[in-house]
Amino acid sequence: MEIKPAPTFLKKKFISLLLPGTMEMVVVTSLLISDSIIAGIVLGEDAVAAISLVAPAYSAASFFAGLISIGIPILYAKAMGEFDQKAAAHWFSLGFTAAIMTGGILFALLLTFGDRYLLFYEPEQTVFLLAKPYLFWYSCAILLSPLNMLMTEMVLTDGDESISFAANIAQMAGNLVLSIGLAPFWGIAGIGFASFAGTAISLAISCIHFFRPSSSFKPGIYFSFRGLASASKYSAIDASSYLFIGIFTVVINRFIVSTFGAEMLILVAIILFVKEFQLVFDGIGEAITPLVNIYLGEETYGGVKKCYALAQKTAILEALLMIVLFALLAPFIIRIYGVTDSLAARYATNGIRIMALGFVPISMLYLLSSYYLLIDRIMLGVAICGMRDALVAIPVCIICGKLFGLYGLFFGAALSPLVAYIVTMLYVRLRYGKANWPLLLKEKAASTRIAFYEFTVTPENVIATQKQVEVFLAAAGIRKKIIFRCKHLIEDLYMLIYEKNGSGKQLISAECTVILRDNAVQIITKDDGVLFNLADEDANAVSCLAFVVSGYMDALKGNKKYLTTMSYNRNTFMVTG
Amino acid sequence: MELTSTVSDGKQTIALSGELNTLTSPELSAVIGAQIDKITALVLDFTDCDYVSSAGIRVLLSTFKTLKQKKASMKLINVGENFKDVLESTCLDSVFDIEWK
Repeated sequence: MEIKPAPTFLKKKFISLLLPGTMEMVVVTSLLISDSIIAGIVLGEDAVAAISLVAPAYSAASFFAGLISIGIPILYAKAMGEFDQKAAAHWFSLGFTAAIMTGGILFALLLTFGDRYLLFYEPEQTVFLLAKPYLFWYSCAILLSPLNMLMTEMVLTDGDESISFAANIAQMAGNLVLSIGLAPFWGIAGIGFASFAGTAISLAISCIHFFRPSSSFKPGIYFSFRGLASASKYSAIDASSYLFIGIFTVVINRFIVSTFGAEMLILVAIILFVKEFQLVFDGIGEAITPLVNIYLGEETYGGVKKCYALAQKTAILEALLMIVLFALLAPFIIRIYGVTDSLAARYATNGIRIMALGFVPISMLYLLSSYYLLIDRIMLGVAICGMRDALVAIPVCIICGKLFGLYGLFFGAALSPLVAYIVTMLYVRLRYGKANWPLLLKEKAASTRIAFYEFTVTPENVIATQKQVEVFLAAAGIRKKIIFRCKHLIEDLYMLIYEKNGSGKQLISAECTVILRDNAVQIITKDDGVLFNLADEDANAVSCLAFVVSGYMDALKGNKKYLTTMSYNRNTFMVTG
Repeated sequence: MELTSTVSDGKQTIALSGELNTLTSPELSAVIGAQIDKITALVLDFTDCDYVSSAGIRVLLSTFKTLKQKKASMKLINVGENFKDVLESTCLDSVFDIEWK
């Protein structure tokens, strides 16, 4: 009997996470750029210069917020994957407390030393006077920013894609609409206030998740330096990425001026724009983060592998789409940057199109670095960032630029990610061996003791899955009594899910993981149907099926757990015999 | 699932072979349903069937209820270890008349 193909649980969840994940990256990259663009259009050059003065403070705040908002959701999801709700609650409380503290400290520092910080740059008086009100409102935004970043990430980790998406949209749209509306009347203070209001609205929307029935959050106050240190190591890749892009900018800046003349300096801004835009590809990594973490916590390596394969396909598709978009929008982009010189404009337009050709390997590299972060190969992820943004990018760009001129430079920028990808793949294969390449899961060793099935819940598919589990357990030499108990659990649990969801009226996707433990078999079930605790022996037995399952649950005693994870049902059962 | 049904003197005996699960229990239900009005005793032989899921139990319970109403008997014979495990965990071992293997 074959399991009928259908939209899998994993695919449905991944697709639903992709849009908010990508949106989050769009918001990150667009916030400051949009302030500068609106200031430039409505208020003039001095306002843009004033915003540029505040930009490093924003970057510093983002860095500190990232120490919390990147690591905490990863550790939270891993704890949930291990069905350790207590540890998950600790991580959430730590993130919550640290985000409030960080926001408060940064706000106090900027209020106290804001003027001295601005004067450090020795700005003109008019620029300084414009920067002051902007910095004040930006400090207010920074007060909320760490908590807001943490909450949008955590809400996505908890599977509430709609709230996460709404929060990101509200932040971006709120900032844009209010900036445009307030700037003509309130000047630069209006643009600053819009940033604060956008952040506040976004945070308020994220907090709605606390009241959702599917929410697994248990807010509390808890702090530990050791815990914070564990969480902050996950921000190493993002932090290093900014550093490597900075090195790339400095070197390419100098190379362009010395080789092609200062009149081509505008091309650095264009190259930088394309490089910063590439952060959007990190949205795919954002989307797989909660899913992969749960699978890793459970040791469901089959799920991790399928998730990565799906993400890889998406990365290629998204990159191809972006290549087409950039080819079409290149003239519009250079107009925004105010490139008026016809020669520079021609180089910039064609340059954007050439650089876009490197999007496929770039997208794959972003995915790979996100993935290595999730499996705790942080240095490998940092090395990929280094190669992608500087170590390979700089020499390839310079060599191609020297050989073929300005177009060669752009071609080098497109070629370097491909070189970096090939070098990475070769290194991982040589260093860790063919069996582990490229996901480093030791899956081969695990495949004899872990089986993973995905199916749509229908009577035929449930029985087909049950038969496959029977074959797997028998091949592993598991005792017949345990095999029979596993078969009963699988058939009756999934049929109860089928019954609870209208007996076929609603298409329910499910997964089943079977793990061989010492003297026991662990079964993990997942389904995206109505939230229902299968492991509850006191559940109202309204049908014969529910009555029988309740009997099983009673017999299993402590060997079962239910945990709503990412807004879906997840149960684990330890079958002995 | 194979079902061998014999009827003599108002007593129906059904020998089950294979697994009584979600997909196969309607077959048993149909075989029982065809004779239930005519019989006074039903014997279900589980010699070659040790896997009975909740779908099978539902058929057994509804048959038991119907037969009890018309004062007919029902007996499960040659019930093996695994089916016994299920019956005990659901406390149905005290409901049915059972002859263990």
